[in-house]
Amino acid sequence: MSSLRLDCASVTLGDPPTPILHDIDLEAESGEILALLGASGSGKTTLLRSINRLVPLTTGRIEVAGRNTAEIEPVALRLSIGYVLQGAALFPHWTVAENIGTVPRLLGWDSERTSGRINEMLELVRLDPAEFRDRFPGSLSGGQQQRVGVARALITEPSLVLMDEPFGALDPLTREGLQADFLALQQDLGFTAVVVTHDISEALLLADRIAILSHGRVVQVGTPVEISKTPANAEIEELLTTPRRQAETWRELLG
Amino acid sequence: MTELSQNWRDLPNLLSWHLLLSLCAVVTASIVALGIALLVDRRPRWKHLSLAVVGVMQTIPGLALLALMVPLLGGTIGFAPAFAALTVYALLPLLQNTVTGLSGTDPRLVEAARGLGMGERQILFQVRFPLAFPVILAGLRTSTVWTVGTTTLATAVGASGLGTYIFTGLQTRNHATTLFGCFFAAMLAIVLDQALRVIENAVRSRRRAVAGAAGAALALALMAATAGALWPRSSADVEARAETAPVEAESAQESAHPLAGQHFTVGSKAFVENLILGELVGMHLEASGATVEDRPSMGSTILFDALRQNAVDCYVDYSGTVWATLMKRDEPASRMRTRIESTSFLLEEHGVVSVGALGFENNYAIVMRGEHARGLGIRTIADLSGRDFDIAGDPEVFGRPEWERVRDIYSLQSLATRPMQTIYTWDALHEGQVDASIAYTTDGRIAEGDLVILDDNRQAFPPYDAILLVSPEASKNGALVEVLVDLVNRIDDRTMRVANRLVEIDRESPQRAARWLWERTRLKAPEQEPAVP
Repeated sequence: MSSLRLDCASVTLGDPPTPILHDIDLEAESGEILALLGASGSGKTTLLRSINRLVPLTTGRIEVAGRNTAEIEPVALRLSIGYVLQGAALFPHWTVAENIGTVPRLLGWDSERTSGRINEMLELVRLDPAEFRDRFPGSLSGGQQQRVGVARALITEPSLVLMDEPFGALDPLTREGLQADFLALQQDLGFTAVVVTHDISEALLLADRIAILSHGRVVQVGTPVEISKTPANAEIEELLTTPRRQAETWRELLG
Repeated sequence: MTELSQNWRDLPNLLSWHLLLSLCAVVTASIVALGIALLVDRRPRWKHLSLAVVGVMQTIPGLALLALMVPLLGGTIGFAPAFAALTVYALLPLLQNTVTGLSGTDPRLVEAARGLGMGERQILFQVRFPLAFPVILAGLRTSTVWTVGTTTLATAVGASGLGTYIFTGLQTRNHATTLFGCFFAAMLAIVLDQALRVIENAVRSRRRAVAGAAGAALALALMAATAGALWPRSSADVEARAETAPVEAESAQESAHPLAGQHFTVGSKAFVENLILGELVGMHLEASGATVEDRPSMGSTILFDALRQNAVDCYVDYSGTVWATLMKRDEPASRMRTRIESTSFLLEEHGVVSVGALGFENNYAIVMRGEHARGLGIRTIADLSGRDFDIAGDPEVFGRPEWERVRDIYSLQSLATRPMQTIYTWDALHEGQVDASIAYTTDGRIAEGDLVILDDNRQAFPPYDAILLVSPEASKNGALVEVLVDLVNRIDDRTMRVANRLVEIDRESPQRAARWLWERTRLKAPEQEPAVP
C-alpha cells in the first residue's frame, strides 16, 4: 500500500482565481524519499502544503496511508504528519526542549514521557541534551536550529514527513553533514518523506524518486538514475548540466 | 515651612490615591485593549476603525474628557468619572501596540504552528500573543506614564491625587506646593516606567525568572503602595485641620458637637477665595463634631452638578453666577432680587437649598493702572469702547454670559481678550502686558498699588452675593443646616478681602486664612454686621 497518493489533484488560489497545480498524479511508497524538484513558481511548495491541507484542493484527492485527507479533520491530519520548514522556523520564545515537545504537548502526552522523548530526539539529531535542552533558538547556529526542526517533526514518529527546503539556507559543509545524518535517520526510522528542493544535487543525493515540476505540472517522475540518464525534456537536461560539470571537475581534480 | 510639612503629611494619602486611580485605569484599559485587539484580529477593516475611534478619543483634551464624564455618569464626582476618563485616555498606546504586536508575527512561525497541528486559538495564545508581548509591554509603559501624568487633572472632578498640590498651588500662587506635586507625579511615572522596562527587557532577552520576579515584586510594591488609599480615611487630613482649628474648650457650653459622627463632603471652586471658604465650611463642620472630606479646586459646573446629585453636601457659590449661568438671565437686577430669584430657582429647579448669604459680594470689575487710566481720561467701562486694548481675565469669565453682556452693553468689541489664570492677571496688568483686567472685587490685591476700578454705571455685571448651598439630600439634615446658618452674614467685603490677601500676598495657606476668618466670624455677633440691603 502506498503511503501517499495524489490523484488528479488541482489547486486554484487567489482572487482572481489562478490555477497553481494541474491534475497532479503522484505516489510515494512507504519508507520512500520523494523529492519535489522545480524552479520557484513551479508549484512544488503548494503541492507539499496541499498534502497536510494548509492549501485546499480544488479538485482531485489525496490519500495518506490509504485515507482520503478530505475526510480527516485538518488539525488531526497535521498532528499525524511531520513538518520541517525552511530555516527551521523554531518558536523563538520557547526553549529547544519546548520546541521539540510542541506536538506531544498538543497531543496531551504526559510531561515525563515527553521529556524523555525530547532527550532521545536530541541524541538522534546529534545534539547534547544537557547542553541544548534549555537554550533558546536565538543562540543556536543555523545547522543546529535545523537539527532541532527535524527533531520537532519526528518526535511522535509520524509515518509521513513533509519537508520544505529543509537544508536550503545552510552553508555547504553544514548542509552535507545534515543531509547525511538525515538519510541515516530516515533509514533507521523508516518514515516516508516528501522533500521540496530547488537544488538538483540535493534531489539526486537524497531521493529514492524525484518528481520534477514545471508550471504546476509534473513533467517527469523517476529514480535519480532514470532522470539523469533519460531527462524528459531540454529543460531537465539543462538542470542536469551543473551537477554533471561539477562531477567532471571533481574527477579531474581528484582523479 | 508649615506649608511644606503640611504637604508631606498629605503625601502618603494623595500618593496612594493617585497610584490607585492610575493603576485601575491602566489595568482596565489593558483588559479592554486586549479584548478589542482579539475581536478585530481577523477583521482588518474593524482594526482600522477601532484604532481610529480610540485615536480620536485621545485627541480630546484630558481636562475636557474628565469634565464630560461627570454628566455622562449622572453627575457623580470623584473616583468614578476620573477612572472612566483615564481608562479611555490610557487605551490608545495599549490598543495600538497590541494590534501591531499581534499583526507583526513572522508569518513563517504562524505557518509552522499551523503545519505542526495548532488550532487558530492555540496559534494566537501560544505563539502570536507571547511573541507580541514585549511590544504590548512597551505600550503598557507609554500608557502608564501618560496616565500617571493625566491623573493630576483628576482633581478637577473631585478625585484625590497629586493634582491637589498642583491645582491648589497654582491657585494660591504657591509654587513650592505646585512643584511638590509635579515632582512626585514625575517620580511616580519614572519609577513605574523603569520597573516595567526591567520586565520588558527580561521578556525580550527571554530571562523568564527575572521577568517573573520583577513582575511579582512590582505587583507587591503596588499593592503595598495603594493600601494607604484603601484605609477608611487617612488621619492626616483630620490632624492637619485639628492643628489649625481653635481650641474647643471655649465653646464647651454650646452643646459642642451637634454633628458628632456625621460625615460631609465639602467642595470648592478653583480660586483662592472659594478654596478659603471651602476650608472655612469644613472647619466649621468639624468644630461641630463632623468628619469632612474636601473636594478642593473643582470645575465650577462640575461642582454644581455634584451638589445637585448629592455627591457634594455643600459649597459656596455666588448669586450672580446662578443668575447668569444657570438661569441664563441677562437683564440687570438689584442685589436683593438676584439673591431671592436665584434662591427660589435653585430650590424649584434643582432642589438645592441656599442656607443664606455669607454677607459679602464678590463682583466682577474691570480694573486699570491708575496712571494709565488717568492719562487717557478713562473712568468708566464705557470709556474703553473703541480702544484696541488687551484685557486679561480668567479663562472662565470670557466664556460666561456676563462678559458677553458687558461687551455688548458697552460696545467693547475692539478689546482683545487675553485669558489667563487669575493669579497672573495682576502681574500682566502691572507690567503693562495688558491694559485692563477683569478682577474680583474681594481680591486682596485690589487695594495694592495704583489701581482703579472702572465704573459699571449701567450695571452690566450682576451682583455676586456669596451664598452657601446645600444639596437636596443634605438640606433635609436639620442639624447640618442649623450649624451652617452660623456662617450666614458673618463676613463683610473687607474681611473677605483681608482673608484673600493673606493667601494672595502674604502667601499663607488657604487653611490658615480660613482659620483667621473662622475666628473672626466667631468673635463678631451677627447684629454687628452691616445689614444686607
